[in-house]
Amino acid sequence: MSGLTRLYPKTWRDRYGHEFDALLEDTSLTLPVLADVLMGAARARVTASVAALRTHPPSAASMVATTTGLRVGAVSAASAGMLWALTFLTGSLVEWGKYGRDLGFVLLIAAAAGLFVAQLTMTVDWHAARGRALAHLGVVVSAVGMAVLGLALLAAMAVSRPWSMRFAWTPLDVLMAGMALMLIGCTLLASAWLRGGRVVAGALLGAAAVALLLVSVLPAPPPEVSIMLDQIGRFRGAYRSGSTGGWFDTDPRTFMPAALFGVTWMLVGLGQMRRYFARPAPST
Amino acid sequence: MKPLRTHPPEPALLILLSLAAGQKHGHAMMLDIEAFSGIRVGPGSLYGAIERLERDGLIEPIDGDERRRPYRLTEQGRDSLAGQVVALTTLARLGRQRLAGS
Repeated sequence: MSGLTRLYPKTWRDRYGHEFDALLEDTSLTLPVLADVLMGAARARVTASVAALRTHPPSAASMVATTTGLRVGAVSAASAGMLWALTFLTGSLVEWGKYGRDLGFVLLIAAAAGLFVAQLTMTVDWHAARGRALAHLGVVVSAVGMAVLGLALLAAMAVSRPWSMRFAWTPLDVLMAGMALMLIGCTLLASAWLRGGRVVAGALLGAAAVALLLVSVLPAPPPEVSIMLDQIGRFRGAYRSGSTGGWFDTDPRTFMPAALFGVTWMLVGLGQMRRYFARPAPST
Repeated sequence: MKPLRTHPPEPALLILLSLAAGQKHGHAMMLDIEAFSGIRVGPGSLYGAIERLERDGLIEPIDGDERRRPYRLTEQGRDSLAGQVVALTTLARLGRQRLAGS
């Protein structure tokens, strides 16, 4: 079956898939035709979801769980996404990279915790069987990441500065490892969304998480590029005290994917809120 | 003067009109509709309408080639088309009268 036909829900494909494939073979694929097929797929998915709700109405317990999941997930995703974006865009991370316990540190931990809660609740709310395993794996990896983050936070509170005098791996390094695990968890969740048909949210989240991961592991750019990025960063008002050269400074390589990551979670949160308000009333 | 735009008829009505002249598969319907109305119905819109019409019992598939399955009007579909044509004719007559009187 062609890639375009696969955009349609399975029940629809089982009935019309072969005919639709044959029709697409006979039709030249112009931009208006492509747009028409995409719109048709979106309509078919909405119709299939409504039909599924009519034939298999959810139980009262499931409705309560879904409602709670939507509510908590929406608030967590929107607020944590905003925190995350603000943390990177204001440049306060530059400071905590140096001194350990300033506002940026607290904001980042709060944002990461919020994102984890959002991820967890959205997985509870996840009904698509195809992406379920990936979504659950994403939550497990993120949970490990959160545990590492927590340990790093405790270690940061316990040791005196400068960290690098006492440990080969500073608490900051451990914290970044936890963050990387969280990003891998988010990438798995994004894959689950892509497989389950939440294409836009999955693509945005996946792109932002992978970009952040790449920025974390790629070597620093040569000096002339760094100077140029510094200038862009200053021009955009993102710098407070210049680049630290660490994993998370506020040069544009970092804050652009970080901002995309945060904004994506905000959009996911708003989408969840829309679903929450549009949910069917529980049957009494 | 800017040309006036009119809304094209619903794909469902165009499909019923096309099948009123005999059974057809999807691609044949698209070509027929374009020939008699000048309207190009995209594959997504066409099969969205086919699904609704079949669910409402207005058209039905005929056994045959799975990939180019032909459809035909049911009795109910013929009645529905006749009703829509009468309604459109009445509207058209009323429109002509009012435009002539204004």
